[in-house]
Amino acid sequence: MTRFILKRVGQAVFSVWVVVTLVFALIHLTGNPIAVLAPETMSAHDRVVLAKSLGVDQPILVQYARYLMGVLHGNLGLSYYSGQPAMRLLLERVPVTVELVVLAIAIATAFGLPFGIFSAVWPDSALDRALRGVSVLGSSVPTFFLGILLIFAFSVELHVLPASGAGSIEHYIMPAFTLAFFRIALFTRLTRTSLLDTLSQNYVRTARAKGLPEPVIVLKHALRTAMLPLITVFGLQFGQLFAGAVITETIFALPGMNRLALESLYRLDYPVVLSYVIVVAAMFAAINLVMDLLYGVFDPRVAHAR
Amino acid sequence: MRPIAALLMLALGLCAGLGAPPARAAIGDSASQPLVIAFNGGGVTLDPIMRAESTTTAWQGHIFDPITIEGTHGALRPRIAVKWQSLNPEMWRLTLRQGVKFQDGTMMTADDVGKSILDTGRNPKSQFRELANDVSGYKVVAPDTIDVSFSKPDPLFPLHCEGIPVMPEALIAKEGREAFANHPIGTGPYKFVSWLADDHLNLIAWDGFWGRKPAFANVRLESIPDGATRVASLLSGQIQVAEKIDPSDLARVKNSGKAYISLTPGQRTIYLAMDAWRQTGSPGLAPGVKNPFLDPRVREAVLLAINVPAIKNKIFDGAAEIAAQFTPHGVEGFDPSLKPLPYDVARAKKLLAEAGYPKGFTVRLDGSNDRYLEDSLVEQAIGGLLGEVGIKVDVNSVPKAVFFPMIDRGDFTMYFAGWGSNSAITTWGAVYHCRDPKAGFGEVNREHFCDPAADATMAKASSDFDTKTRERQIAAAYHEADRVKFAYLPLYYEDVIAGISSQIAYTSRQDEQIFAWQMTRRK
Repeated sequence: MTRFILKRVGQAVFSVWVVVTLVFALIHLTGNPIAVLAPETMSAHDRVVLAKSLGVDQPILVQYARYLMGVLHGNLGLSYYSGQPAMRLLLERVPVTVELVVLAIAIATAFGLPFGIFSAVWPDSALDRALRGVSVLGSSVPTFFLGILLIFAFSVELHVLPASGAGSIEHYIMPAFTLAFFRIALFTRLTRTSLLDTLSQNYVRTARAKGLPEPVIVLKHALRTAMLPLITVFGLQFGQLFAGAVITETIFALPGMNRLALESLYRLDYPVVLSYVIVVAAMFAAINLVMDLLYGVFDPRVAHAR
Repeated sequence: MRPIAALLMLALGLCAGLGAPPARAAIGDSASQPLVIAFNGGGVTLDPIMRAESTTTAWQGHIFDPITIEGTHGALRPRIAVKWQSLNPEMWRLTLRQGVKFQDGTMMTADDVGKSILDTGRNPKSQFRELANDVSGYKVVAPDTIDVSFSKPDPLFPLHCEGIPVMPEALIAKEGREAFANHPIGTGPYKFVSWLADDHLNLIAWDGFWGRKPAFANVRLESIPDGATRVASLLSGQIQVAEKIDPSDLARVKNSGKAYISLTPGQRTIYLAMDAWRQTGSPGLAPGVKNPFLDPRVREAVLLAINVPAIKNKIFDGAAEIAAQFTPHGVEGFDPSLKPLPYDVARAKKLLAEAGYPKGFTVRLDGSNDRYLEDSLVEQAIGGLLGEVGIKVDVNSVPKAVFFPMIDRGDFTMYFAGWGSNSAITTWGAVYHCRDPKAGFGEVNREHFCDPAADATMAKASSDFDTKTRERQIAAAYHEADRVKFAYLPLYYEDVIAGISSQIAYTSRQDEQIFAWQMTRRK
């Protein structure tokens, strides 16, 4: 067991190192941060002073070594752009992203799960076909388009929801729905397929033969088994949203960490970009762990096997 | 079916219930309904000398006062200094406003002003050092008077003071810059309440301010990076002022009945530069081809072939100012008698033929695609227009992080860029002066233009304390460079564009700053 854990941790450290090195290399290939940071009117002498104060005048290997040392000490340095500690800037924005993602997953589940169950219980009914139609639409509408559409409908025309910013739950409704839309479709289709598969299994037939009421069979016996592949996808989606709400956060001007990462990328502010990469990597690791535990809850065999 | 309907009802009900409009108080009178100004980015630090970037400076300009300030249309105005006088070429006397307090209640002293000048010029992290580089020291002559001494004459010091903030130097010395930046104290009209770096800043009008009380007590400055969202937020009434409206959205804002557009010609000159030093081997030409831009006639032909009025109307929907010279309106040395050269394809072709290019040539045009308003569109348009006179252009639009290092190392033959400065002398020193890295001249003169006679004229101007002669010398040097030698081709000045709610009265500032304390209610 200890060996297993050590191996997993070793793998995680290795992959974080690969990612960190890749980001470092990519940012250095794209350009010189001083060109973006310094005002156009800044003199060459002052540029040299600025480069020196940021340490970007050093040879690239020295910068890399210094950077890795920083990461090991948990010190990601100061943002080039604002001079504030990079990790603090990023962590300040994590709550907004987490709230957004949790709400989006909740909406996607609240709609996707029942839709999928109905579709599976009455396959090829009018309802099933309608829901499947909607889910095709859901998986093909791009985020930026849906976001702008919602803003024009609910903010500009109807005046019921704010178009931008964060502060109250109202601010999160449209962005969360924008993110959830595609996932509603995904969860509907997935629940339907998985549940249909389970409903055709022998133990369900046995349950029916025993004369159990249909809702009990579907919700208690079949759904529980059908949930396993769903948990995998939920977890992956959570991670994907956490690191992928860039467009949504930008359109709705939410102060989330993805928007900060995007803006920092434009500014070649790599202490912030690298902090982001590390936070996302840690988040993915945490999600994987939670998913492993959830498997145990839904499928006791997994827990016993340990 | 029923559970779905119930769910839908619940969702709709949730939206409708939460969206009920809050009780209507007047905008800007309470913290829950502040006057909101949206920028396309956010201020990143509240330490007023750490970051030279226009949004950051605008956010800080609510809390801090600069020593002097630029008026809406560019003229120099008093702020903390009410009078300035040159005692001799190496000394300026500043007369300070009396009764100015910092927001922690302490009185501002002449020492605070003097130390702020030194701090701006000497702090290793200051991004405004060039404003006070030559200051050698100061002396407090009276509680309201300081004499600032210089290591070399600086006739433009009062202008540079527009960028020097007055800081509570005693407090900073005591608590350190970082703590100060987390809770900034200035002499300005608004007090800091709370903020999230790069996202929003909440402010409240300060009772002890020396000047006119702002019309809006509660103000929120925020970042809305997406242009379409800024417009939507403005039209929905969620925000009152939106900067940088995309030209394609101008008509929608104007026709909405809820907001209007304020346009002011800005200080950023958009220009073309062309290799002026390599005979052959210029990277934007085919290998071995002679550089056509060494001939001023070719440069003039390029300018004549670019239909700037069409660019202004088609790309900017009118929101740009055609440039006749590099120096923008409101900046010393601007020559109001100069008119733009007319769009003239026939004459352009004739000049090209005279220069030996009757069939034109092929050249690469480099430009950014994320730095200036509609930059990549304009680059495409220039490519098309030059095609009309036989110059075949390969347009190369790249991100600014790639573009600037590229042109800085000389990898261009022709490039499209912008330059903004409130001083024609600074501009000359950086962009036009013969390159002399040791002396700090010609640092942005990437095309290696060189006219020693004009440099000499500007050197005289830069130490001349008589405004009239100075202006004449500046205009003469620029005329020689731009209309005789066609050193650069100034095309247009970007307009400063803001969308403003019909309830608010405001005029966009030439320097691209936006200040809530200049806004008033409209009846």
